[in-house]
Amino acid sequence: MRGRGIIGLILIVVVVAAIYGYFTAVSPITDYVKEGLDLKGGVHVVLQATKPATHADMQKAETIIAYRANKLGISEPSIQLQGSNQIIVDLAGVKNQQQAIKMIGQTAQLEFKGPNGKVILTGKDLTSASAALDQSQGPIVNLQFNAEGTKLFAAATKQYLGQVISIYLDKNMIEAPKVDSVIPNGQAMISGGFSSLKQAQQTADLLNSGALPIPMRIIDAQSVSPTLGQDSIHASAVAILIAMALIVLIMLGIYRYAGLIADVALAIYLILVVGALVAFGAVLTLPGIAGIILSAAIAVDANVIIFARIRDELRAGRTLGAAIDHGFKNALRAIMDSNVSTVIAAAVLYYFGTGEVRGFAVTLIIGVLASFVTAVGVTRYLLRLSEDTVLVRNQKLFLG
Amino acid sequence: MPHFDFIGHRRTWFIVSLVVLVIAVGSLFVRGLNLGIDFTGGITYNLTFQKPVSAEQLRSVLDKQHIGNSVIQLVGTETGHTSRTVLLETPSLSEHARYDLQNALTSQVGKYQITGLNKVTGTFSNELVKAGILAVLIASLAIVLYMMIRFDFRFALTGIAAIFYDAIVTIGLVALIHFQISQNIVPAVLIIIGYSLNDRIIIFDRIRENMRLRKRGESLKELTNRSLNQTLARSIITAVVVILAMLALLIFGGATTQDLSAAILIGVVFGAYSSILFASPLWYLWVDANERASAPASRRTAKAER
Repeated sequence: MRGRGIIGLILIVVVVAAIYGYFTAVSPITDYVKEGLDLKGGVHVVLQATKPATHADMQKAETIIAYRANKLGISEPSIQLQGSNQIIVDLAGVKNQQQAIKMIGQTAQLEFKGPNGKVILTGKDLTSASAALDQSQGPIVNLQFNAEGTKLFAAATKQYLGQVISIYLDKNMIEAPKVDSVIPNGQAMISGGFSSLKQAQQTADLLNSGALPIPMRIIDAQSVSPTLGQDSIHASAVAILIAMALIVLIMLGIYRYAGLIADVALAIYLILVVGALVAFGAVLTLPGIAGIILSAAIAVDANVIIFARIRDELRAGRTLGAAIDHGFKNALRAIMDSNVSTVIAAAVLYYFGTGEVRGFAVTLIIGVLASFVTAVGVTRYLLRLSEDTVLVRNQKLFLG
Repeated sequence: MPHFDFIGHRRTWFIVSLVVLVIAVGSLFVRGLNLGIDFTGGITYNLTFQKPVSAEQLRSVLDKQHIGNSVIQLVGTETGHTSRTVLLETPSLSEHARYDLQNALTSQVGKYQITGLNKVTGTFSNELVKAGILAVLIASLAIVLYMMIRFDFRFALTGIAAIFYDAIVTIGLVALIHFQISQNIVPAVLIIIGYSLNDRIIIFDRIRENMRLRKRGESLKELTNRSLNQTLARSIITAVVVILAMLALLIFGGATTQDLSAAILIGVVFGAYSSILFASPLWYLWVDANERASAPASRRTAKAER
């Protein structure tokens, strides 16, 4: 039936416009998306050494706090040394002081005590800790002592053979196993203290990060506005809207009706990306936006490639239907190779990267998947839907 | 379809590419990058104004003092646009400049008290840079492997060489224009690498396709030229769309994101350039040498083109 395509397209445009309208005017999307320190602000915490500290101590403390923040999954914190004995930690997505203190002030003080209450070993004697799920004992943490620790542990298991050695974590006794044999290899295991593998993993991470070289106290914690500056964020948001409008107009100008379809696909792409961010609870930061910009460029490029191929086919004398089919088929291989290699690279970046690099990789993966669905799937569907419209007669109007 | 002889002029393009590379690497070593406070650290002021102030007000004063990319954070508010307490991080300033800044703040924003004044280190450490570079190198290895499977090792190696070329040239030119950079340089470089990768694959795909359906007697030079001309419209349209979008971000975006858009802009221009005029001629040079080596001597002279 003639005109079915146009009606379908109008229907989709209306739905997409309604979604955009709802999430800008009625219930702003920014209420759903979690934003990072650079875009939304967070809590500004000042830690101060309670004892005289050397510069090396402070640097070590900074590294440990950064390690912990990264392991605890705090997205892109900012950590700086201030003056001679302070560390500033800016955390995003933290509502209040208590939560911030809980996140960075966390310690994992490990102590092994003999039956007489004397401390045998502490976390300092460890080389590594790792979490595992034991068949019979549930979540456990495996410990490997260093050379010194191994000696101490061997001596202690010999001295207290048949007696009980208690294991304390943050001053709480979590286990008091009886020593059955001398352990000369410096390996030990903590079990029974963890409700989940995740908790065991967190303890292992904290043990690995080590204790702070000097005791530190939080002297100030206040909520702060975004590091990029509210003014700059506003300007950038306007700039992004202008850039998007430009893209929409250029595509319309070059490809006419097909350009309109590409624009609709791009609009759906953005809904999918933001929807996925909300669904996964991902934290959006500037590097994340960079990932979205790159995948949007890849999405636009995919449509440019497809349309160029369709034009080639039309020039070769095919009918529009056949040209669309062949054009897609020819373009798909290049688009697939580009998308797959981008996703592979982004996955590697996510796995090996930290902070900013990860923020970029997450949105890039989401964005490339969404761009494939929309730039290929949606565009194809809408083009096929329009095959039987009056526009087909006028190829200039259809594809520019 | 246009009929440009890209490959015929390859020597010219190689010289241009080389000159650009030399300028870029030279600037990187001679001029160096103009590192902002994210890298160098600076001074933090804790300021308490008598009346609430906005980030815009402060930024306009800082702009006039040429330290517009300082970090301005309002304290005690996450969403509000004004606050009496402000955390301000500026680059290290001379005593004179500090005096000027403090006077300008009083006269143009309002009376305030300095409740804290401290030196701070950068938020961006060498370890983070090293970790980032390592991650990119491993990702490049993955790309090479993928391209070796889907294309072949010559496409893979010339492709990755050109991707690194784009990244290095961009960083070098950022050093040359001495644009001050923040940690935004990380997402900028990642975007450039990603864009460059996409561009390379799209164009190599066309060469691969034409190689498969190579016409009898068509020289490698003709084939490569034909591939580049077939994809030229797409290369130009995509580059123009992205360049215009980035120009909008550069012109209208705020002071703290301009380094990002400027770097991407340079990268996209060179990405489009290097796919056609660096990566493809490089690939041609390699494959042509292979074909000549395997061709019999009699045909070699007959088919020699230059």
